[in-house]
Amino acid sequence: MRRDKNTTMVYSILSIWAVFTLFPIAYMLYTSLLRPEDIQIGSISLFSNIRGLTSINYSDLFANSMIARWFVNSLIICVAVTFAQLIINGMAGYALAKKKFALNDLMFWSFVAVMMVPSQIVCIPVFIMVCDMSLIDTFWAVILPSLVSPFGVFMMRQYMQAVPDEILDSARIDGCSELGTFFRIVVPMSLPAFSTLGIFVFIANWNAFLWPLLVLFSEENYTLAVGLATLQGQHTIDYGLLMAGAAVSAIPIIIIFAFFSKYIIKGATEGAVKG
Amino acid sequence: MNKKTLYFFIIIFFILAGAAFRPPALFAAPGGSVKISLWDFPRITLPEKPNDRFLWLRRICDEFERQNPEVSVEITKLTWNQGGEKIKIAVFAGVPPDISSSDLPLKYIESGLVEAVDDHITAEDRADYFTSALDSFKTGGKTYGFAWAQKTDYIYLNKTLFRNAGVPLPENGMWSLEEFRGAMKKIAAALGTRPFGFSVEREQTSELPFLFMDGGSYLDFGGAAGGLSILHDFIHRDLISPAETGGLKTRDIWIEFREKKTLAAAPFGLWAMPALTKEKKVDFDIAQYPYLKEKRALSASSVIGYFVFRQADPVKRGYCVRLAKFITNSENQKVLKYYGQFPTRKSAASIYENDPLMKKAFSLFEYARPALAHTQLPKIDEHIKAACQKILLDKSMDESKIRPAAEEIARHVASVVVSGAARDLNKGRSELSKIEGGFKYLIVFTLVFAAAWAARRFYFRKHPGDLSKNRWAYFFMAPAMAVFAVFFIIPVARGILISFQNYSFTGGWLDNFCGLDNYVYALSDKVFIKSAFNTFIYTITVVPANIALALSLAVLVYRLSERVQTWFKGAFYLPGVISIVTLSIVWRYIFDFKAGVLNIILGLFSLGPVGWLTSEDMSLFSIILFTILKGPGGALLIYLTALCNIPKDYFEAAAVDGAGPVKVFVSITFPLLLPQTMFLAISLTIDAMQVFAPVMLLTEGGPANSSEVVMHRVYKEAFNNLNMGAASAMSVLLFLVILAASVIQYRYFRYE
Repeated sequence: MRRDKNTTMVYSILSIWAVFTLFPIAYMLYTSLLRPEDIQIGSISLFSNIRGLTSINYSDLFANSMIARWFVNSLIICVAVTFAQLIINGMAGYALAKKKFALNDLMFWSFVAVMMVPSQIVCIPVFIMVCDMSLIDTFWAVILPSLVSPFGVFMMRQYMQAVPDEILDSARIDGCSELGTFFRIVVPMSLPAFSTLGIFVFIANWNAFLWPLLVLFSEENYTLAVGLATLQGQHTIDYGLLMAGAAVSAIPIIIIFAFFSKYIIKGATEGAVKG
Repeated sequence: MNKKTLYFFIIIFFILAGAAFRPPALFAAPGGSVKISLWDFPRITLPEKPNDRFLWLRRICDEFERQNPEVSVEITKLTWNQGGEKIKIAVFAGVPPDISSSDLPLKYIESGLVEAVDDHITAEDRADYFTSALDSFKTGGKTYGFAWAQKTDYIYLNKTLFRNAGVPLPENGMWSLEEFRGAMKKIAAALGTRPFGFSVEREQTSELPFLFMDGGSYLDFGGAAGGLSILHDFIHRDLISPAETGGLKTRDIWIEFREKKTLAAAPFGLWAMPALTKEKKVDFDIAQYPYLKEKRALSASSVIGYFVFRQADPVKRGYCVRLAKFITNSENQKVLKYYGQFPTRKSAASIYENDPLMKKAFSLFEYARPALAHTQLPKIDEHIKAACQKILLDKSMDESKIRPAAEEIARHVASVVVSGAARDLNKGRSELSKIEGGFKYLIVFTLVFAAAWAARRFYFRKHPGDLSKNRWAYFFMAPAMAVFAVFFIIPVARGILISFQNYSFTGGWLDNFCGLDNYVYALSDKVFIKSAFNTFIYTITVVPANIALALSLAVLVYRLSERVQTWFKGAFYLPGVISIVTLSIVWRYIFDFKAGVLNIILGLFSLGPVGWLTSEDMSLFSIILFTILKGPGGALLIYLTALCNIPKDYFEAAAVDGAGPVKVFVSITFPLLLPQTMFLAISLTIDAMQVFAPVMLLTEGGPANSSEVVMHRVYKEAFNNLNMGAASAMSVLLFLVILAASVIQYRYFRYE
């Protein structure tokens, strides 16, 4: 009996917290479906005085802003960065995990050390560099600096250490080239790690804000996050429109999360378990 | 992954990479044609196509291109939010547009970056311009652009509320301060509200006529004490303005005036006129600002014009100037009808003939005086507005305290002006061609390469045969190391270097060393100290709260069955993957003073309303609240995984010994989770000290700098004030603190 009571309490505490964390997301979706007048005035009560749901905010959003363009921009940048990172981080992780070269330790620890350095420290020098290279206001300015992530290298190395040496040796004895070994044996064996990293890199770049804000100038080159932050008039603020924009940017991530939450949750714990 | 899939993905990658490259960045324009880049804001929407905010400009440029077939105009569409910063950054970085529009661009003119256009203004033009408009683009005896539109601020009146309270409107739109105050008090008494709304906000001019009513100006702020205490009285003594005024923004007032119709009077720019006329939501009229002594109110007018950045090629210069003049000619000024601003040419003045309100506004316009033009204005303005917000929010201020406070502000402004002039080395870089810029990097990379080559000898001596044996290992490392070196290692070194320089784009890598000046500047900057303090508070609340929350939730979730666990894990982690921008936007709405759900819920219990983002006491707390409620998703998962790895025997043994749940937690669970706690403490601290996006999106550091944090300060210093050296110094300081915090935490957890 006492056990049941305890369990009920645990359930209710957790549910209350879940409501807390999920409320903003639900509220965003709900508000994006309200009429602009209801949103601005909303002061009397939460749910009364509301004259039904409407998709007017979304049609306004797509008609009056370049959100479709931003969406495509974000997609191009994220896909390019994700594939490049998978290849580059995978190769580096493989070398660090399986090759006993002299500078292995030095390189590995330099990656780990940089994970500790605040990334924003480098944003001023990199910005100046990007200006000097005349890459400002191009996608390259966003893509190039994010081609490698220390966390990605670290994660791939940890995972690839589990690939048995015997398999690699026998592949080599069978006359498989180094590149062949990597692409035909190591990559297929590490697919779970690749997919986890891929999802992570994609989400991180989809949500990236400060850097794209700095280097992208014209409205048609904005990414979704940057566009969203600038989505307001010169003097006014239209919450309905903003909520619809927020929803458009969140929905792909929610969908990815729904399908791949297993990998995402696994990836989130990967770094720390070794402690 | 089989071969086919792999090739497929590689091909997709290259296609996308190709799409990312903009052709114009690669190929020069075909010979003979003149390419003009024009950067502008979404100023006008034409009635026939309300979705396209650049159609009016495109049409004018198309017409110009038709008349000059060798010219092609490329329009870069800026946004209102951030657009001004973009121009500034582009100019600073040496890649300015050819033509842009704004009010008098004094800073660029002083740096010699703007073309004088006197030769292109004929006597005929001169006669056609309103003199004040033409003069507003004149400095040092030369004209630096073509004035295009002018505007000022007015007091907008809600006629319905005036009628309901039985108060007459001011005659001819003119009233003295006493008449104004009397009218407002009467309305307040009759309707039981506070009828006059205003805001004190960065880059706004609508409160200035009150502020400088009794004398004083931006550069002589001590004299503004009288005006400041009048505004303070409106809020705290006369009770005609809302109590939270100091924290409000124009958009809050706007919603109150237009949507909720609770305000009888509020100052807005001319922009409010077309919006109010079109929607017909409010029956409104306009009036001039009240005057104190002479019958002359002083609203600040501003003139927008098109100007040309310095051109090396005289042919292109000619085309650019002609285009700027063409956009602003009297015929094309007629489009201002849809913008709701006044033309600068007499021959276009008739566009508002059929609009009585605009006609009235134009007649009141003669009382406006031009706003101050000063290179340090943004910095002065930022400081003055923050200081005024603080004074207006402070109930305990009274006339005797306001005067010293105003003099204190005046002293600070004077020091800003002086230090700004001394530090002002940002001359831009238009002389230096892009190729030279690229060349600079070629040299640096060659040097780095040479250094690497030298290191190679050392490496060969130490590890003979390693390279030939491990060729492939280095091949696999090469791409990662190359990107890593170019975008991490070199920039870290460069950042430290810049923090000792008075950096300017014109200078070389090793020019303008100034010793510790930047550090002295940073540490003597009150706002930076305040931001450091706020960051500290933020960190020491958010990190322990997140860890405690994660730990307790993990211990609770751990006991549940696997299926339920998965569900809760998902629910708690979801906010962690959604963009901070998205969440901040949602939370800004939740925190909103009037429409926000938090205050609505408090209202149900007859509490509040609380100025979550608009009061000095709450703004930082609200940002902390946002971070905590966003949830400790990642930390929770880490604890949960660790808990699952603890052998069950431990708990069973403890249960056999009769230990209660608290005892078990204290003596078994927590010590076993210490490595995870250490990892989380360090990584969460690093994250917390770099907090940026929520501050920028929720409060922009305000009101009165009460929620300023270090990274936001760095951002503003670097990209608003273009003071890269000081910004680098601030980020190096932050880095040192983070490093120290990490080391201390590491040692503490190690040996305790």
